[in-house]
Amino acid sequence: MYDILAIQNKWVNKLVWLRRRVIVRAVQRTLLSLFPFALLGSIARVVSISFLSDKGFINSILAMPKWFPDFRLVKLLFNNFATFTIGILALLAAYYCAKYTAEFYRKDQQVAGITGLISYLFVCMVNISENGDGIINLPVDAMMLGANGILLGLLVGYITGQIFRKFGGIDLKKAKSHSPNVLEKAFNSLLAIILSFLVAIVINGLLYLFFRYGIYDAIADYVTNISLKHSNFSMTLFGTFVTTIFAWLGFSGPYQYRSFVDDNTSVENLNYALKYHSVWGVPHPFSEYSLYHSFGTFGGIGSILALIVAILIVSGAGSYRRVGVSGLIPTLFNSGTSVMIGLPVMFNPLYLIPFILTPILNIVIAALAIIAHIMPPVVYPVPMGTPGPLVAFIGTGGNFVALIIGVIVFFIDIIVYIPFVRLNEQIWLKMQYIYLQEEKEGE
Amino acid sequence: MTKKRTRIILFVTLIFIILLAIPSYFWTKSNIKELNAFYNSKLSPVIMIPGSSATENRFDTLVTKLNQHTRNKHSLLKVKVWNNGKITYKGKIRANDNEPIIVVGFENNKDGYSNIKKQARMFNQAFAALQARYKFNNFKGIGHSNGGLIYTDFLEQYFNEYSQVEIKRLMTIGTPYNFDETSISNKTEMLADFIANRESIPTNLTVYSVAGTETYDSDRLVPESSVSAGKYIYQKQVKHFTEITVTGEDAEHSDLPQNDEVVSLIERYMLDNQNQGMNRKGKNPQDNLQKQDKKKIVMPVKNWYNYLFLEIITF
Repeated sequence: MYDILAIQNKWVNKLVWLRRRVIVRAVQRTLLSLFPFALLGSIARVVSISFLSDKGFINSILAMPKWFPDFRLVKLLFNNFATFTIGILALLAAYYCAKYTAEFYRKDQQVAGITGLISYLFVCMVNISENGDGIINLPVDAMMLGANGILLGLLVGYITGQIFRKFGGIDLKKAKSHSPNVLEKAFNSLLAIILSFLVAIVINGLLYLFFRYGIYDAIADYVTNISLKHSNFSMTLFGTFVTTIFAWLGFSGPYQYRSFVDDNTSVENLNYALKYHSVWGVPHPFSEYSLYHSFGTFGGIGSILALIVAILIVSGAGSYRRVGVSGLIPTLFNSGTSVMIGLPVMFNPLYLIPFILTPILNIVIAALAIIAHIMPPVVYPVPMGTPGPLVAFIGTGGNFVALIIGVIVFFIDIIVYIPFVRLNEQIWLKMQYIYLQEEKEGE
Repeated sequence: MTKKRTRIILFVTLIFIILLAIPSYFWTKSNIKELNAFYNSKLSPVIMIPGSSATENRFDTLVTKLNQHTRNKHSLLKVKVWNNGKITYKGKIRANDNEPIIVVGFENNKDGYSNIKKQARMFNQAFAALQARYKFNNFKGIGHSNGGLIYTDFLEQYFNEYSQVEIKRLMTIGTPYNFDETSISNKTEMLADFIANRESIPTNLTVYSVAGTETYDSDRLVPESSVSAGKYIYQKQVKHFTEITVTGEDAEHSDLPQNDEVVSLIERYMLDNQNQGMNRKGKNPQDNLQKQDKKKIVMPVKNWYNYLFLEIITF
């Protein structure tokens, strides 16, 4: 009989050790600092797309446009809100990561933070044509500033922090009796600042080379093409896996931004169903739309919704519960960013396994149901911003078996997540214990 | 946050989803019905636009002549777009008529480029209304004189909105692409614009440009070189571009729509059901239609955005 407790302890200790590395702690704190912005941004985005969009989910099913006079302006406001928060997430990540890393080494964290931010701008530099008019036109790639660039942002922030560790002037704690005034601090940091910018420019150059020779584009196109053109089950499985793991790393995968009209397999399915008045026998029953978007993201990417419910059921730690509850509505409407950042799930090796496993499990079960002919493939289009749980239901034209399968799949996801949530609790408790001890020793 | 509070929150969320599921059910049922109506619509109207100073009654003779040669008469629906945006209808489309003729006239039927632009916009309004009402997924266009200019402007500026409606064929009759200019080196502003924006014209379109000549180089109103200037717009952009010159009786500008040759050109090249045994593939015209159906990617028109499914940022 295995000594389960001992094995669990071993893993807990390993993960605790990992958690205590500076880079991990800096990243953790960064993500937590980003959380409120990500949360508000997701909510704004959800409101803008699902509620205020002319053809969004709420408007479609409740036929709202007749009541609400002119929400174009309001929608624009919400959209901008989302852009100014989620749209600059990587930039903020660079700031916070640099700040926290410098803080660990007791260097000037404020200067390090700003330097990290500006360094990231250097990293995202692109050639932009002149465009006067008194508007600030930053020559950067806007896409990289947003949530898709978080990994890079964290990296740049961390590097900046380390530069400050080596070259960042005086150690704040070891400063002389009078605390240095602002000007002294600024001059102290000059070397570190310049070095950070230089490193950032080098990174920018490397990225440019990488993209210029089309390597990334070629790979991305290849992956997207094979996952879209061949819609058999194994391809869908592959696409699901790639998209999910990319999401865990903070990028977008091949299945992420998809439009029904652009997707040939979905349209072919739809044409078939309309022509023969039946959904059985469509040419691509295991397409990305039918499996991944309907069941694979039943609770958002990686079934984050199931994770939230698991936390709410199991977790004793109040802070996790609060993150879960506040992230409930946006995640319901497919915007799991806030929870991914707040727990965090992103870069968290603990949640990696269930994150990847649950969508795969979901689509396997759905595929089995389709093969067994108890549930039709998902063929009809759904409005923009439809909550994950309702996609299969609406997309099959109101098929109740699809709804039930969805619910079953959701429960299974929750059950898969629960042990990981418990593990997380244990680690958290252990870390609290260690911190308390350190504080005691510090005194 | 206590466990009890948490349970309540979960429960409320569940109720919320269930509440959303109910109207969703009804929405999807009605949505599918609409999709069905659009996809399975066999309606393929011929939409005609008259020239300057003409009204929606301009093609009456033409329609009569067309109907003389066939057992299944084409219904005639006349649409008038007023300057204030109001649209009035005269006539109706018979229930089982798959190829009705719709004529769209305008209160403002004056000549000149700025008027043509206005008329194109008005045509777009009428087109949107017709699309919404009859839900056809393809049509044919015929424009006489300025009507052809209006069609050109419409195709370049407005038609791309209707991403899933197909215009199968277009015929312009006596259309002065360069107004009164006889030389192609003097391009009017309109022609220059048309040429500049030609890439917006659908590439799978088949275009016939009919010129009339009473004298050797004009139909007494429009110079033949002006009609011919159309090739700079359509050639090498659309799938097929054919120029046809009609002479003899009734080749004068305003007689062209009733000209017997033109009538037979329309019957042969524009209409679906009246091909007298000779179409491009040498098979039954009905088969032709069905083959095209299979390749078509079909979605409802103005509502296509309705059915966009976009994963909201998971970031």
